[in-house]
Amino acid sequence: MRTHIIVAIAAAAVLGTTLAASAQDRPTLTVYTYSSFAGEYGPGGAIKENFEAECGCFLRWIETGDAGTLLARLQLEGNSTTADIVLGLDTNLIALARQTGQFAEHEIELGALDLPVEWTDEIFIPFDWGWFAFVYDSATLESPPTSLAELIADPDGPSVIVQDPRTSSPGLGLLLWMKQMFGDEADEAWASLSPRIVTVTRGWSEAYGLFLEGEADMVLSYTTSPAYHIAVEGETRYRAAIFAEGHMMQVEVAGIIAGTDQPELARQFLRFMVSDGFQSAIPEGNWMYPAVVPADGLPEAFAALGQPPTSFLLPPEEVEVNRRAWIDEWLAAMTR
Amino acid sequence: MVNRLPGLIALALIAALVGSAMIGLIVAGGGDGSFGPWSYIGSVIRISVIQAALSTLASLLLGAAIALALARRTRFFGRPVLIAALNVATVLPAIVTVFAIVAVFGRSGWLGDISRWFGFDYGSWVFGLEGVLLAHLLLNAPLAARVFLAALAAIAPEHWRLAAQLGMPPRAIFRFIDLPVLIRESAGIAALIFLACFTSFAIVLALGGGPAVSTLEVAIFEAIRFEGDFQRAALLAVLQIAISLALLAPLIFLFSRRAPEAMPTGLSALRPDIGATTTKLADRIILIGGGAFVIVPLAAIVVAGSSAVATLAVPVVARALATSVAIGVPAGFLSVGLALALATLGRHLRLQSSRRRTADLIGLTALLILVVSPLTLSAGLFAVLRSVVSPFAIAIPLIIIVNALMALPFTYRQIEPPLLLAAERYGRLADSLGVKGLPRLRLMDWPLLKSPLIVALTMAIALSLGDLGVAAFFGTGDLVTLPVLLFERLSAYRTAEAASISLLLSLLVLAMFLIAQRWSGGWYARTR
Amino acid sequence: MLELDSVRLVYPDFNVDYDLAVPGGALCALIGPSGGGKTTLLHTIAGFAKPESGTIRFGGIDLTPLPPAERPLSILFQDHNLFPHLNAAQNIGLGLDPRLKLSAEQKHRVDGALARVELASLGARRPAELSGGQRQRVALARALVRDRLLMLLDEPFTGLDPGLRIDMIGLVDALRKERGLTVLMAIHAPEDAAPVADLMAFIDEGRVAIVGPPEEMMQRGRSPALDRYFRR
Repeated sequence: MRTHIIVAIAAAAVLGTTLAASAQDRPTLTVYTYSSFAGEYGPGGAIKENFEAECGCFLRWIETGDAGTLLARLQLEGNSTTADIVLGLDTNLIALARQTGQFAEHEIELGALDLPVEWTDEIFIPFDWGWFAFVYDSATLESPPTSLAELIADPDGPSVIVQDPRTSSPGLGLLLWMKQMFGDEADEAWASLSPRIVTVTRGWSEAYGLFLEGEADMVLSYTTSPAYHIAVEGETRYRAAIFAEGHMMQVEVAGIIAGTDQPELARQFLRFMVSDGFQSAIPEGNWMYPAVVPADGLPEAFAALGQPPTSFLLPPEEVEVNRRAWIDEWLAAMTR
Repeated sequence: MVNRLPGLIALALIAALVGSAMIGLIVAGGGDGSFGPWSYIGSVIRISVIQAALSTLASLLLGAAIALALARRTRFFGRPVLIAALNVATVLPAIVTVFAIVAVFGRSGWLGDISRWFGFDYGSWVFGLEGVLLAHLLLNAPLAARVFLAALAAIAPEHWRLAAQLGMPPRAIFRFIDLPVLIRESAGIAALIFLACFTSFAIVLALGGGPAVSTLEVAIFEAIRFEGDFQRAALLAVLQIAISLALLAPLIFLFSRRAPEAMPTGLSALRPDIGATTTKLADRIILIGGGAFVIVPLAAIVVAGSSAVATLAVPVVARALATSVAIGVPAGFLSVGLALALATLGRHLRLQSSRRRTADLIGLTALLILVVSPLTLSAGLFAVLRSVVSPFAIAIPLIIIVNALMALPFTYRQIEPPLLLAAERYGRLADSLGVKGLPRLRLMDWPLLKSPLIVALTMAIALSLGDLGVAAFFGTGDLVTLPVLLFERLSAYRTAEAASISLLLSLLVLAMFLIAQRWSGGWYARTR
Repeated sequence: MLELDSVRLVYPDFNVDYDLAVPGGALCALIGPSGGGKTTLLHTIAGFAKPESGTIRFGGIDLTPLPPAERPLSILFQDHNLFPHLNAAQNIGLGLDPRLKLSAEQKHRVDGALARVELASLGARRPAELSGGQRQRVALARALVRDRLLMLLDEPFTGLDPGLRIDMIGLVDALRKERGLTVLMAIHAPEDAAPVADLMAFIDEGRVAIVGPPEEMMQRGRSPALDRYFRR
């Protein structure tokens, strides 16, 4: 038995050192991102391949759970972080990210972006965007709510799965959406929805997985999510409910860590990020609208998607000033 | 010096770790900002207490019912299977329990499938209080059943003969013989289960279903890992310690005045209540119902896991296994080493320096670590270290240390009594023969210490292997242990992969259990 | 009259075969090496062990088919005669009603029994708060309230001080004379019982080897096995 244990320890040690060694031959760019981006089904793999083909470097994705934990992790690590780039924050988190003082200006001359909003930020560069929406299965939910107010108010309405605003950017997006719609009565709205919330997950993938398993009627996701089912499965039953009041938007961004030891490589990556090599992997990898529409346009499946009548995007500073108070209000409402 | 130095070093190490963690938290929490929503924190405390109380009550009732039925029915088809299932369930890692509960009670689980087949869909109710209670029950009712069964087996056979002679009916036997034994054992086991559920982490994180059902332990994790908010983490940790201490105080009191225990004489077929129709019916219901509750989830792990074994053949599983072993084994050895050093020091103080109170204090130290929960300790160390070095960069040693400390109450309890017994039995003889140093250790202590040492080591390794919290706390994307991987798979609802990892983890802790049982000549069964 | 007629029990590694007759009202001491079958004899009479064949009669009644509770006897063990969480009076009360629902009259009888074994003021004490001798007195008191004519004692005084042992055996002797009990008493130290016993039975290798009055049994030369037992 003892020899077996020693063998196991030795094996672990050897495995660890080989992994470390293989990373040292070429310069390594370490990018922190959320799990579903770098995971098996995300665009991370294709992007890594495309970038490594042109940079002569090694691109290392570090999955940190979800967008919210991405920032918490960075704050916890402080100056000792190994990240060169953080990819996957959204506009609702960039004021907080800026406050950490851990990001450097990108100093990149950006070309035209295909965003529904003007982009002038000097630190963060967007790579994709989308609208939050509740996705449902039209085969089981025949008449989905047509407005957020209807979803909230109907006590016999559909059950939903949402994400935690502390960890997940869609979760935070919904929190802001509710705040935008209901203002000071947002906590009442949460309390009214709360009995129909099957579970509050930490991240998007967990929520979407549970929804596909049939654990709830609707899930907080994006208007673009049905494109996945159309393109990959040829399945049209999944739809995003378009709400009359309009939808909260999300713009996802990346930024360079100030203390990076690979500043040039990091800039090269950000330039690559708004080029076809990266952007072409977004629509059918991250299932979002690309920040720069690639040369061969959007995939066919995107044409069938519904579009909200109105979009909201809160100024990052307003989000940051109120974020903690609103999250605490949400915690209180959810535990009422 | 050989007797004292290692103990003093161990004591200094523990004091330094726990002390700096506490100071780190207090300093981190010393800001002037508001502590946030009291209604939320109040609700977390309320839910922690309520779910722990309900879990404890249910575990004790189910455990007592199963133990009584097993005590009355000493031979029936499937009894060995049920006993083995009870043993396995008590050592199951919490996160594996989560898988088992979802696999059986989830909407797409066995029960869900069966009820849909009958045209009834009960929806998703495993997330929330119900799921947490079920998982706690699956983990703790078998523990209670084992403790109760051992106590019932220790009832003197004379009492059964007496009961037969006096013509006591089954109800009187329950009231005058079984119930007092169950009540006597309940106090200690209830405190233990309550504390475990009060600070429950993996189960609540995975099945709680959001902030509405949370524990302080989960809230500490969230405060730091979700929000980087040390102030709130410190407040929550202090609250948790205060409440645990208040709850553990009676437990310590109970430990210090444990009734002298009769040696278990084994279950006897003498019980005069086995022939009655009422007990026959009750036992049948309990054994079928309770047995199914314990066995079916374990069977779900085996069935789902073995059909998905192929999903284990990916590098990340091998890496997670290697990491888990690389954490579990050193943590086990460290924990046993600390316990041995402390127990030797305690023995020296007790016997050679006749400082009984100081010796008792050392035993108390080993127990009190339970109050400082794994995440409180982790949060404190995190707060201290982050200004010096990235805690993520030295995650593995940190996880090993925290896991070793958390296993210390269990290892110490195994090691201290035989060490003391060895000295009491052979100490004077060894003194008069002038046997000293290592030969003394080999001749005097080792024979009595060998079995408990193996039990302590395997227990500590199994505990560390199954731990989700500490690894999740210090862990990062590249540091993946088996429980962390299982949690991720469960979160992504990748059922097949979750099933195979659950099976792998179950087999690992089962192997630890079997080693303990085999190499220790049955010591394990008697002391757990 | 207690009669055992070819009472056979078969165990995997051990067989017993008892023949014994004890006159009514007599005190018969069972002596012999440990493991020789004294306890099995008492357990068989009490109904805790089922014989393969043979009959046990007491006062002309065949006890063999009766369950333990219906046999006209009381038994005292060496240990654990009392339930630890019930007090002395409650332990005695169990002898009157196994559900412990006692009438005023029954409570009065419990008090009387306590007084008879000289523990009048200790009824509220639990076994842990009583000495070894006091505990066995409580057990004797319970046997008294049960009022059964046959009393079986399985070395109940072993482990008490010599003086106390003599006192206890004296108490048993007094009680059996008061109540006309037939007593069968397994005993570790034959000399303790010699002054009060009417008969001694030497139990060895699962058989009642020799029975006789104590003065004869204590003499050398009755049988080689008995001499070996007494090391004489």
